[in-house]
Amino acid sequence: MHLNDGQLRSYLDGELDQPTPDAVEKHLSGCKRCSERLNILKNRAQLTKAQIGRLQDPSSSEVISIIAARTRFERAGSKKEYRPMLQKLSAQRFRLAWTAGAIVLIVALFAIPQVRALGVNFLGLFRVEQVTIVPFNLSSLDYAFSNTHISSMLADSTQFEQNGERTVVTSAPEAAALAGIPVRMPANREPSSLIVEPGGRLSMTVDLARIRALLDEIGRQDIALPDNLDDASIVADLPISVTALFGKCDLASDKSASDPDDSSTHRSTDCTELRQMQSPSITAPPDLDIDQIGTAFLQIIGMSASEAEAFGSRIDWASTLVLPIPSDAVSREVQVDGVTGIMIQPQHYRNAKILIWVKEGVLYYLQSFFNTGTILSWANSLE
Amino acid sequence: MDVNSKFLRSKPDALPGNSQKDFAAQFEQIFHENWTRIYTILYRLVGNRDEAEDLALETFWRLYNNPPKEGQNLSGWLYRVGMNLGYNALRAAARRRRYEEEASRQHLDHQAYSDPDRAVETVEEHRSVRLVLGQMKERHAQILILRYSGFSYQEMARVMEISANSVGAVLARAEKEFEKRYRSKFGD
Repeated sequence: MHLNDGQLRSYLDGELDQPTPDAVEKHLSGCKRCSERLNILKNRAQLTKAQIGRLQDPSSSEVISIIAARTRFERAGSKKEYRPMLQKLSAQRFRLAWTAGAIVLIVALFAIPQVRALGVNFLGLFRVEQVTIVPFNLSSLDYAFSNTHISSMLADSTQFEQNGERTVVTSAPEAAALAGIPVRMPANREPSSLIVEPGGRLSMTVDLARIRALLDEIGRQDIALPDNLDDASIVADLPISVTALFGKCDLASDKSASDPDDSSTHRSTDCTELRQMQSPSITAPPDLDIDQIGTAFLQIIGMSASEAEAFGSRIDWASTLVLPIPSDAVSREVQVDGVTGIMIQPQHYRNAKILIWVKEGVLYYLQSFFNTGTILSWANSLE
Repeated sequence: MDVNSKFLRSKPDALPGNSQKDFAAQFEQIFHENWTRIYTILYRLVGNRDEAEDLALETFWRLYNNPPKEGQNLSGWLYRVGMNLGYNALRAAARRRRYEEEASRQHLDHQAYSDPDRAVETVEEHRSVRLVLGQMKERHAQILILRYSGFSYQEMARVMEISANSVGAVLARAEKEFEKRYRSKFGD
C-alpha cells in the first residue's frame, strides 16, 4: 500500500497523525516510488515557500496598532463614513462567486426582454477560467419560464444597463483600443467585418422568498438554497466583446433586432464568427455557500439531487463556467490554443459547430460551418 | 481562538440589553486577538498599507454587522472572509495591470533602499509571486498564503472548512498548481 500525496505532504510538515512517522519512514526506506514522490513534493514545497516568502510583512512603520485600528473602526462606524467605503468594496468585482448568481441569471435570461435580446451574449455572464458542459432539457425550462407571473416577479428586482453602443471598426488594433483587450486574429485571414459589442451590467438583489416560490412553481421544492443568499446583491459584469466575421455574413442580422431564440436566422452557412472578450465576472457576497448553490443550479436544469451532488463535487465552482447545453447537442473536449476547450454541435444549428475556450483571462467563442479540423486550425493560428 | 458564535447570531442592534453587552465583549475580544494577524496576512497579499487596512476593517465590519450563524467557528469564518476579500482585491488589481506600477511607486517611496537596483528587483519579485497567486484557483492561493503565514493544519482546516486530514492533499495540489504556473510564466 503506497502513501498518497496528502499523507506525504502532511508528513513533510510533521502534521501526519496516521500512519505514524515511524511507520512512514519504514515504508519509505523500502519503497522507491513513495520516496521519489516525497522528493517531488518536497521540492515543490521549497519552491513555493521560497517564492511566497518573498511577500513581505508590513515594516514597523506600517504596522497599525490594535488600539489605532479599533479607534478607526469605531470612528468609521459611528460617523457612517464607512458606508461609502463599504459600497466601494462591495462593488469590487469579486472573482467569480458566479454560481451565486447563476440561478438568478439563468432565470433572468429567460425572463427579461433586454437580456433575451443579447442572445448569444449568454456566454458573457460569468468570469470563467474553464468551461464544462452539462446537458439539460430545454423544453422543461422553457415551460417553466414561459410563465409570465414568474417573469414579472423576477424582472422587477433586476436591472440591466448597457454601456455604450455597438460599433463597427476597421482594424484589430482599433477594436483592441476600444475594447481594452488584446484582439487576436487567425493567421492570414482578413475579417469581412469587425464589431465591438457593448458590455453591460446586470444587477439584482436576491429575494429568497421569491426564488423559493419560483422553485415551488416548477415543482422543485426539494432544492435547498443557503439562507444567506437572501438580500445578497449580485452583479454580473458583461465585458465589451469583439466579434470578427469571416466570409459571407449578414451584418444586418443584428442580434438586438432579430429573434434570439431563432438561431437559424443568425448567420449564413458561409459565415464564421470569432468572438473574444475578457473573462466576465459576477459579484456576490464572499461568504455564500457556492457549492450548495452550484448543486441547486444543476438540479434546476434537470439533475436529480444525487446526480447534482456527484457532478458538482468535481467542479471548481469558483472558476468554471458550467454551460448548460441542450441535451440533444453533441459535445466533446478538444485541445485548442494550448488549453482544453469544448466543441459543441447543437442539433438545431444545422451543421454549425461552436468552439469555446478560455486562455489568459480571455474567453473565445468560434462558431463556424467548417469541419472540426479546419475550425481547430483557425483557433490554433490566432495571433 | 475557538469562540462559539452564539452571541453573534443576530445583528447587534437587534439584541436586547444583556445580549448587546455580551456581543460587544465578544467582539472586542475577537478584534484584539485577530487584528494584527488579519492585517498582516492582507498586507502580504495586497502589498500596501492602506488597502490592507481597508480590507481588514471591512472584514471586522462584516463580523460586526452580519455575524455568522450560531455554532460556526468564528476565527475560521473571520479568516475566510478576510482571505476572500484579500484574494479578490489581489485579483482585481492584477487584472487592471496598474497594480504593480502603483505598488512599485509606493514601495519605492516607503522603503529607503541604498541600492535602487535592489529595490526594483524586490518589487519585481513581489510582482511575479502576486501575479501567479492571482491566477490560481482561489482556494489554492488561499491555502498557500495561510500555510506560509504560519497557520497550523488545524487552523487551515477551520478556515477552509475541510477536515484536518484533507489539508495535506489540498496543499499538495495547491503547490503543484503554483509550481506549474510559476514555471510557465518565469521559467526555472
